[in-house]
Amino acid sequence: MIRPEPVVELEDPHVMKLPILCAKLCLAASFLLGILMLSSCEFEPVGKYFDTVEKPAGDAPVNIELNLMTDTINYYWSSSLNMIIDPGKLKVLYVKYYLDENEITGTHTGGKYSVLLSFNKPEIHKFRFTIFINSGTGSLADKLNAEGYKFESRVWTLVGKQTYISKNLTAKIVNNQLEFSWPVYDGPDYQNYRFREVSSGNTYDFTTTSFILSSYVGESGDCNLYVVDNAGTEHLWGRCTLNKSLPALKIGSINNNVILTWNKSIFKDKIAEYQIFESDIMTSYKLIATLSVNDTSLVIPLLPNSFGPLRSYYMYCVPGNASYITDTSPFRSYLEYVKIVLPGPYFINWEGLSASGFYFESYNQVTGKEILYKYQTGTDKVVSIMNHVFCTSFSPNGNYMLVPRDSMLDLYETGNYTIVKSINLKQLSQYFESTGSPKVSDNGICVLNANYTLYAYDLLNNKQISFKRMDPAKLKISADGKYFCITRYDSLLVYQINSNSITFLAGHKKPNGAIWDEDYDFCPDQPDYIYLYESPNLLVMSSRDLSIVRNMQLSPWLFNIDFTTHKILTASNATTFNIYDFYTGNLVQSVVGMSGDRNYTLLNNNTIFRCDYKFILRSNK
Amino acid sequence: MKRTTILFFLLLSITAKLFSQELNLGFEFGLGSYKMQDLKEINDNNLNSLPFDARVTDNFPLYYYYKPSLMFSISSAISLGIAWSYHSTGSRISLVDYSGEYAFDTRIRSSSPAVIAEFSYPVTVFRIAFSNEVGIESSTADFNELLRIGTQIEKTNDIFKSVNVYYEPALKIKYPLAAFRFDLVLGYHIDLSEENLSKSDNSKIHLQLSDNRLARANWSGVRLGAGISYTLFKRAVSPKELGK
Repeated sequence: MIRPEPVVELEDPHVMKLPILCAKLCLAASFLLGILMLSSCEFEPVGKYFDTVEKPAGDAPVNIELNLMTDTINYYWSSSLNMIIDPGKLKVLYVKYYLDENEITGTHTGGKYSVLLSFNKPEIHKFRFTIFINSGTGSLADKLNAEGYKFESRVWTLVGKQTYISKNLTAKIVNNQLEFSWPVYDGPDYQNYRFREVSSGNTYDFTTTSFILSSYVGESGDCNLYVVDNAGTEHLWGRCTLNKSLPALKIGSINNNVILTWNKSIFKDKIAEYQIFESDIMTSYKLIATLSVNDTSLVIPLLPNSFGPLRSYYMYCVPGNASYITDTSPFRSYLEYVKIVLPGPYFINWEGLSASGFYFESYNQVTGKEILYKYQTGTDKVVSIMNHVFCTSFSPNGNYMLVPRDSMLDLYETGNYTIVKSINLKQLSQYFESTGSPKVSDNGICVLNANYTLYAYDLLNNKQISFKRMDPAKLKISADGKYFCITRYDSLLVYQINSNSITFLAGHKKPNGAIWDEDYDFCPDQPDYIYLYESPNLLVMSSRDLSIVRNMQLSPWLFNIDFTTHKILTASNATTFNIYDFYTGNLVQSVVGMSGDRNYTLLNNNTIFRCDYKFILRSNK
Repeated sequence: MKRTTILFFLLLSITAKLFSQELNLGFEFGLGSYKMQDLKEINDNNLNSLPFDARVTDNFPLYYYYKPSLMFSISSAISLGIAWSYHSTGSRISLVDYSGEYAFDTRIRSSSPAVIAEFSYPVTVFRIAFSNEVGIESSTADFNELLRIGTQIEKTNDIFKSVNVYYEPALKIKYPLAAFRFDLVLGYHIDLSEENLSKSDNSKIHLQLSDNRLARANWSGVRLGAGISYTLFKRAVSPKELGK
């Protein structure tokens, strides 16, 4: 039998009894509760660092330099307001600009502050600004830019004005010197004026409102005047164009030699010398004479076999102050030069070419009128014949001139330009309004289009001959009034005017392309013949049946035929004229060195006129 | 970290299997020093970035800690138990002048459950004990910034948290008196793992230092305290146990 081990109960005052246990548990609970309360007492930072800075007192010593000196400022362009702020030991926090109470953005570099004031149109604005400067106390607020001094500017009135550039700069000659003057610039941001010669680029800076261009010797050119602002930017303040006051070079002939003449310049004291340059078009310009400022003419002998006086002459006025010459080439110098090539009449469309000259119409910009001129071969002059003329046509040999005016047709006699007959075309047709392009023969027979009808009319006797229904077409009439022709694209149609009828005679179709107006006509001195140019062939055909009488091969471009000399002016390429005989088709003369323009070239009495220039044919083969 | 976790669970399992002879409820109170080098660095960076001349007036100073515990004496030399400790400290960057005030306050606290294994030896009337404490500390750092200019006040607040494992060895001198024991404690708190502080409402947001490291709460430091414990229960033992 196993007996259990005896257990010794230890005598311990701490052995628990139930009531004591409960008390202990309560004690433990209170203990834990106290711990929890203690645990809520965590670390709390309490230290504070007090800085003993002092509050600001009084105004900050700040200097402001500003370029707005008056309450009202005139503005002519976008301009900068510039300001220098010196806050001493303090610091500018920011500057706020207000245009019409709207804040605008400015810039600054160091102590220089700037704001661009720009306006789209002339109008009035209000402008002010505010400057904030720190207090400099070193306080917390100061360091955070939250404390400082505030400066309020006054309010400026900005008046936007328009610049009258074309009127601002004027030039006049005073005591043989060219003096410029201009109104004072009364806006802000001004540093100086700057005068610039556009052609040379020479500039002159000054602060006065007038300027004498001492180097001026009469050249033409453009001059600009600028206002330079403090940033060095140029603003155009005035502009003027100088008309040429150089000696006017003229050309003439004396004993078959060319003579160049010119007048004395009022600026001759500033001209060192005259230099005459010559070019025969194929070669570059060469200096042929150096003359003193007192000379007024130069005779140039011509070579006997040269192709006329086909020369260009330049007279170059060498300025006295040679330092202004910026280029050794006289033609690229700042100085304008005079260019002369035997001048001829300027014409666009010509009519009535005859031995005595030819007619042309030109618009006169001064009078605003279309004027009929005549170039007179004998006198080598251009004279005006009459005003307000359009679609004037001449009879084949120039006896009569037909001038349409509304529904009237005026027939002039070309001897003294008096009206022979004046016909009211309303009597032909009530629908007649436009004269189209009526043509008249040397005996007063007229053909014209109206209301899809062709009329033949005897102007001298004031009676209608006949009419024929047909579509409108460009007309040409023979010198004797027996025939007229029209074209339909590539076909030439010839009609006969009988005493009371109009009869179709024949037609000819051009094999390659359209027939142009200048490619065909009746021969003025041989009305039974008509010519047609089918490049490069010139056909001379019978007016009655269009049978070919002659077929001549010419150059590929036909200008016109001078029936006074029976010469045909053609061109083989862009630089060579070829002149043929109308009867034989033989090449008479070949002229190299003149570019041809089909619409602006005609031959007359051994002279070729082209674009304002005249070339005399001196050596005929 | 892995080694620490194994040790922690080993101690727990031993405690569960052993039969205690004495149950003591204790409370320790003392001063702790806290390393907090990362948070001090944050203060330095903040101080350098301020446009005004502020000062650090509190810089994670020594502060009180509290530690209640429940210890089981399984023999006259060995005690095992559990404890919970609470630490807090903080800092302040401050500037006050006539124009306003600036303060950047950091308050950090930790709440740490732990297990304790204690080995004691009698020396005259005292007992000298060597304590080993391993626990998990849950840290909460509360950052408050205040700027007052005149009457305008701006405040910001951010809370960051982390959880670390620590080990705290300590030397204790115990003096038993009736049912009480009075302790003097000198220990050293070592953070074994240092988890990054992350924002309380978004764990992906961390505090970054100037060298791109992430900031951590480091509670390492000396612990100097005094404790008192009370014997709640004491069990009779067999002669065989007494013969031992």
